[in-house]
Amino acid sequence: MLEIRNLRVSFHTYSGEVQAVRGVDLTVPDHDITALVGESGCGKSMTAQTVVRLHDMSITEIKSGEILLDGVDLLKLSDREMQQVRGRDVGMIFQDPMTSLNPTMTVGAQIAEVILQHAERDERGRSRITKAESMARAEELLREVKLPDPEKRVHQYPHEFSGGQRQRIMIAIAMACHPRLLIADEPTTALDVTVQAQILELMRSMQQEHQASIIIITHDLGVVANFARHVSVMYGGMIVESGTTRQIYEQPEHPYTHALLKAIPSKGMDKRRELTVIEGIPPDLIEPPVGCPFADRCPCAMQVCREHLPPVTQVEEGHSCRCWLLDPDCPPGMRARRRYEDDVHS
Amino acid sequence: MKKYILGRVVIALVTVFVVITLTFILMRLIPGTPFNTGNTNMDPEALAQLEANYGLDKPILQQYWIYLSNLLHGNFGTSITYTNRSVTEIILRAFPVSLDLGIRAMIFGIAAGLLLGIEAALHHNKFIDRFSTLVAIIGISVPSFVLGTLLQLVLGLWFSGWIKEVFHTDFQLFPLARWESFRYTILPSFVLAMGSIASITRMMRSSMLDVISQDYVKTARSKGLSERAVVWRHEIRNALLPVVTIIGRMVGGLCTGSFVVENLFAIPGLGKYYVNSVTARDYTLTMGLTIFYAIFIVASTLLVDIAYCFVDPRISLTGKRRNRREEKR
Amino acid sequence: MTTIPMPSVSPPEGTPPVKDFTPVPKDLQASQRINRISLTYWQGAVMTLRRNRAAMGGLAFIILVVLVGIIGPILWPAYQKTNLLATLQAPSGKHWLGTDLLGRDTFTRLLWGTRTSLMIGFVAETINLLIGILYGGISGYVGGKTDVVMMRIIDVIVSIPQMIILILLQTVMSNGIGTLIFSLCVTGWAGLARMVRGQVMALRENEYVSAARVLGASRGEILRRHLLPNTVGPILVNYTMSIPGAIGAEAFLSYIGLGIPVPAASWGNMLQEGANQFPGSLWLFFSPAILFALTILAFNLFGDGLRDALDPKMRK
Repeated sequence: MLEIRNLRVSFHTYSGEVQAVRGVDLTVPDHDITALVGESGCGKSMTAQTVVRLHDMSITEIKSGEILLDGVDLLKLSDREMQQVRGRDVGMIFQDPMTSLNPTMTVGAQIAEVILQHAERDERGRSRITKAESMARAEELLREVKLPDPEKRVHQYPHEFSGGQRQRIMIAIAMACHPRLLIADEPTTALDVTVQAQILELMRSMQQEHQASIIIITHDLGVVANFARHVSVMYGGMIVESGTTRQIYEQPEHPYTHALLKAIPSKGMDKRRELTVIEGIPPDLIEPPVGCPFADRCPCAMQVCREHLPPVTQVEEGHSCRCWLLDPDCPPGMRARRRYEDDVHS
Repeated sequence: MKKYILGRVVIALVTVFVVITLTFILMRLIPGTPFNTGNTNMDPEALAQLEANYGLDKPILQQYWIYLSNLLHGNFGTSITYTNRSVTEIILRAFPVSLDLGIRAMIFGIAAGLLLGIEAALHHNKFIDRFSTLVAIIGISVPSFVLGTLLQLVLGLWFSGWIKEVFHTDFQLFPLARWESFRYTILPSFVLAMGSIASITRMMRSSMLDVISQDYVKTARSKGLSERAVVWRHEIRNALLPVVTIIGRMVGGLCTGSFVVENLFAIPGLGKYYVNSVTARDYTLTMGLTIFYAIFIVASTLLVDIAYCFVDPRISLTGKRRNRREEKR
Repeated sequence: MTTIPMPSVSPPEGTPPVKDFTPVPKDLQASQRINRISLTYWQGAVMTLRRNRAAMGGLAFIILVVLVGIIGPILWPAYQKTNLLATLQAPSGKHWLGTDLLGRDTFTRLLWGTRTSLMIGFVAETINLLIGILYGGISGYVGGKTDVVMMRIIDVIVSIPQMIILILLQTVMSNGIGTLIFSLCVTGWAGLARMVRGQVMALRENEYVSAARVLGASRGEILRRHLLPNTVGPILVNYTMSIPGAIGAEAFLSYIGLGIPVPAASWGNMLQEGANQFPGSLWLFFSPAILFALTILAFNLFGDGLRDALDPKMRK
């Protein structure tokens, strides 16, 4: 349903032009959950914000690409048309529930607002829903996101809620108009671990009930494992590997994905084994490397990685990866190395 | 919230009491009395009679108690220079004029300041932004007596002179002095408002810029709200909050401003009496007006602070405003 | 659709002619080679400030006016010399800015007025700064009940309208520079004290200070790297912005006839004398008015720039 093709986005700072998104291709299937994974600054939030045009228009520039939502190119819509899409077709949830709600409006009013905005209108442009009806609907939504005492809480202000509760309210706002797509930008990062699972569960149940799709953006592969069906791993402004969650977890191809997986603590893990860290920092996207963005930190980097951007290789049905190790000319011995626990060079 | 309001009220009362006491002490520290500055050759008997009339012959502490109890009864004493007129009478007569001037200036200052501040923030770094910055900086740098004199010169004298020459009429659109009909109020109100315009513009602009970068504004946009709804319901509404508090502090500035403006334009307001009483060494009038001003300024600040409690739902819980700037892109 | 077909885009920029598959080691330095210049806090602040033309213009003007205030009166000492044969003269080659009612040279008086007004501004605010730092520092450092009491006192002091204190004290004490500075200092320090105390409190509780301590930073290092940049910045800005307030207060008081009495010269009493001649002899009013407004403007521009420069969030 959502297809992003060759999206390139830059933003301008005093230090220069940051090429935050450098040719991203992403397909989000219907009624399913897709995860976009990567460390901070890899361009994943930028990609998501571009979809709904929420980026800071004054400093960002969309260089190229198409964003097709059910065949309509969102990048070609006028601002007014885009406004109709936001909230009605695409809902959004943000990272920090403490700051994403307007502190001076009751949560009920904040939910009702989106319902009224997208309500059907009569010939004279008046909403067919009354304010009271929209508040009743807001209360219903609070019940749907499993907030206790919705009839009372609908009249309260955001500061009277905990972080997890506020994220529930955000979900209620995002799902109020039954959007086809929900974009969740790190929805659980700012929450306690115990609350994280509840929020994910709520998102999943809402998604199934409303027959929506979800793009979840996260840096935490652990969050993805039990939640998303598809995973795309982003690094340095591009997608380096993508496939079903099972494919990514069981047969990761890209050394970066390997490294990410090794960095997740797991229950059955040998207690003596230390968690692996990925040494180094991501490339500066003001002057991105000509070759593979991960080459400098990659344990199995080769000369070619430094010099040329690797092509996308189809590993199997639905699983693709951007890495020189998958090149037919690459010596098979090199490919095996990335599975080693330790860095080949140390 | 009750605790917060109670605390503010107590501080306000203490402040007023401190001002009353301080005023009293300072006034009694002045060597001599208004009737006896040391070099007059007044008849000692008549002098004593006069001093007894104004209660100046009693022990200091007694004078203090008398003064306090009189104040409680709304009696601010009798003026020394304007004989036979009580301070209360002068206040009742002159205060409405000052209040009129102050309210005009305030309305004008708030309206212009908010408008400029909002427009500047919405068009950050564009022409209107630079213009409002210029207005703010002029309003802060040019004091009211310079601005007032300048306007009197250009609009009051030169412009009127030109009108007289061209239309052969004595009609003055911007009269130089007095307080009669609407056109008399234009220049003084504008001059008095300039400081408020400057500070409100600055404050509103930075408050708006802060709010615009907040996450909840992004949330509002993600709901598909129209730009107008985002700006009014989410941006301006929140940006106004911190500005409300400076409106309380503005009252003090307007009072001092009116000292100058009323003298400059010969407006028979409280400020003119105050400045005159100081130069004429009219103790009782100075004392009374000082205390009146103190009560007025403290009370208006207090009222605004209390009103703020009701506007900002968060204050009832924390007593402080949460202000967080998100640095995420 | 259940699969994600990754469109098999041909490798960008054409397939490389030579593919060299020799392994190379990690190059962690390369990933840390940042294209942005990394600056320390103070370097960044100075650089931002230097790039701010308005602020630098303000600073240049402040330096100029200060120099005029110091050197001017030395070169033109005769500010009291009256000449009843040449009163209220328009600006000329002999009297650059004309003469006043008693035939005193306005230019010379302006130089002396500059000295008086600036001295009042700098001295009064420096005293306020010292008292404020001391009071606020003690209050924040000691904390507890002492802090509560000290802060309640401040609450009361800041609620007293300053202009009332100024006018009262001018009435009671003999007029002059000393009285003016004293009355500016009676309540003027309270705002700064409150701010300093807030900074000290915040730093005592702030997580990054604890973090630095846990990471083994020494006392001196914490003071130098964390406390100083965070407190000195706001204090400096506050100090810069308060000086025009003091200069303005002098002008206001002298203007209503309370501040600096003639024959001494200050911007305020020159403005008053000028206003008395209004609408004649306009140079008497406008020469101090323009200098005064420009100086206040310069302090404000510099203060604004300083605040932006010291706030890393404002830099990009």
